[in-house]
Amino acid sequence: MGFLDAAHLGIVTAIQPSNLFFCLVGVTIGTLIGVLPGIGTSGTVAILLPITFNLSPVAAIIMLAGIYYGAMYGGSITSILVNIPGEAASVVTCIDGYAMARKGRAGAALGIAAFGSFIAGYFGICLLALMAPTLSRLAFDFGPPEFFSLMVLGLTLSTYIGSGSVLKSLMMVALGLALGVVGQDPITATPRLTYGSANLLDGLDMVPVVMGLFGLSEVMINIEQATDRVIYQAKLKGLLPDADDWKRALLPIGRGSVLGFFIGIIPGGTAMVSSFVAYAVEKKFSNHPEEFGTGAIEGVAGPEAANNSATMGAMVPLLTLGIPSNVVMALFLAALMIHGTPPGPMLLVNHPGLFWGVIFSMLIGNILLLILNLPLIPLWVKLLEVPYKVLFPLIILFCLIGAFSVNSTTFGMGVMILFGVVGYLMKKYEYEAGPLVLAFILGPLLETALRQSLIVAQGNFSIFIQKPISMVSLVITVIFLMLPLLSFLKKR
Amino acid sequence: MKSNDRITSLLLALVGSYVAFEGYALKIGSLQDPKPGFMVLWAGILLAGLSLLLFMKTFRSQEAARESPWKGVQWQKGLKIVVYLIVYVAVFKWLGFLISTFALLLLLFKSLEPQRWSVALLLSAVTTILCFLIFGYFLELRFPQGILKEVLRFSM
Repeated sequence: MGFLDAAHLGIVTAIQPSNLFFCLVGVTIGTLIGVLPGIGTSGTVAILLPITFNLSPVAAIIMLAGIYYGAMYGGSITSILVNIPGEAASVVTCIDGYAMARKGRAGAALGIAAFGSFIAGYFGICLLALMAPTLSRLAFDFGPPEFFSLMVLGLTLSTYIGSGSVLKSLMMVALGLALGVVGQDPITATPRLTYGSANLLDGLDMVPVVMGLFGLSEVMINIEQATDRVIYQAKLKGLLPDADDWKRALLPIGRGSVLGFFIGIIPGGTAMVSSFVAYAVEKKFSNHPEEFGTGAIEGVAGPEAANNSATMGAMVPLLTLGIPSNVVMALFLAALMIHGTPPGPMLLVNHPGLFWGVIFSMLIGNILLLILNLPLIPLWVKLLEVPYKVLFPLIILFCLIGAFSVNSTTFGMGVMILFGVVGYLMKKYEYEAGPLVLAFILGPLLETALRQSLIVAQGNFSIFIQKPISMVSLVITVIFLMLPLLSFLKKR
Repeated sequence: MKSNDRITSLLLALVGSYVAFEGYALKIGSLQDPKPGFMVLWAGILLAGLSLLLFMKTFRSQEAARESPWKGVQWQKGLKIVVYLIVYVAVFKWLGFLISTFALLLLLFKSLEPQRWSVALLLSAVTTILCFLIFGYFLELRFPQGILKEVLRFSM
């Protein structure tokens, strides 16, 4: 399909009234959860995932994508005005964003965050549209050994890029793989770890697991501590950045867009990671690094551009290879599979309308977000005044309804509560949930690829090093796994 | 804290050992023809092995002791939430969505943070009805009617 045909198909799909409506719903909900601290993107996407079962695949993905990139816009509002990150990806925006607000420049900070996100979003979408078809064509030659090795590499990288201990993250990967085997064997349908329960024959459902780990556990952690929010009260003025603001912010936006996109592609390379890296880069490049932390606009522009661009980059491995790079993408994978449109090299061939429709919908969505995030800021500020003691019961209720809606049974609710407790204890004892969820999702796919490879090669492991992509992936994996050992030996 | 890592790593090593045992009990097969227990066994071994590595590391680590994660926080609130939710799930089908959800919300609004009764009652009622309309009516989720079904049937 030529680019003009693809563009025509994408535009026609994106501007259908129902798809436009769900794009608006998605970006609005995304902005809302970005603004409100205490509920993250992963938990929200997990809660709304069952609701998308009644929608068309295109509308479902458009809405979920809108939530994902919309949250990046909304998170900056809370970071700048309240000094509390509404989203993990906006943590670093608190540093200079709030400092700008205290100097009376909240408007400029909010404006550059929104415009920076917009420019980076368009940059990311263009790169996604250019890269994905090419990568999909390359991936046609991938077989089980390549997919196995790429997934192993992805899981390994996800343990390094997270903030916690690598060894603990690897343990969570192993635990995720163990949880992923619950249910019927993918090849022989033999029940495994089901204890005779019909509810477990299809395995643990991802939605209640993610809701528990990211939704309920977050509420349990937040409710322990009383948090008072002090919202910047002075009148917001001058949401349009002036010439000097643009002069200082343009290059950081450019750098953030590029960095964010490519970090987003790497498994574990979340929007949060990209924003931290972008901040560090801007401080390095700045002629006045001493200004960082006191209200440097570069410290807002770069990270905000990076986190939005990262959301686009994250879609590349999912849509082209069927390999999610973070928890939200893992939920997208589930949504696409449930709707009968499995992501991977064949997605562009079998469902071009979905792919190009989502791409062009994101172009529209970013415009809607600019409108939602600038003139409507006073409305979002009002929402920030809603106390957490009113919000948290609603979050819990949505988690319960979402868990129930998977199979219309209370089993899902029970799973959600169990993993809520597990997630809470994991947070307490500093074990990361991201690698666990990624391994839980990828485990069955990884197992199928491994067993198929071994059957084809008649048990000969050399199949994994005979294929170039597989070999390179495994070599990089081994290097990363050996790094802690080398570091230990160096210390001795 | 080192002691926390020791306890959690031992627990996870036990879990891993159990999973490996279950995998062994299923057929492992061979490298030429891996069977259902193959992945289960190796996932368990990996978990147990990494957990024991962490356990051993805690004896060599020289990092400073960190504060207990339970100190200075009201962890009892989290426990209350879990208890309320377990009871909610237990009575959900019997009482039905409307009554059980209203009761749960009332408990959550009122018993964990200071809140006026009028506010808690109003928020609980409005939220329950709105969720029933949005999810139960428009999105056609099949919420259980519970005892209200019996009441309606009896009154007719």
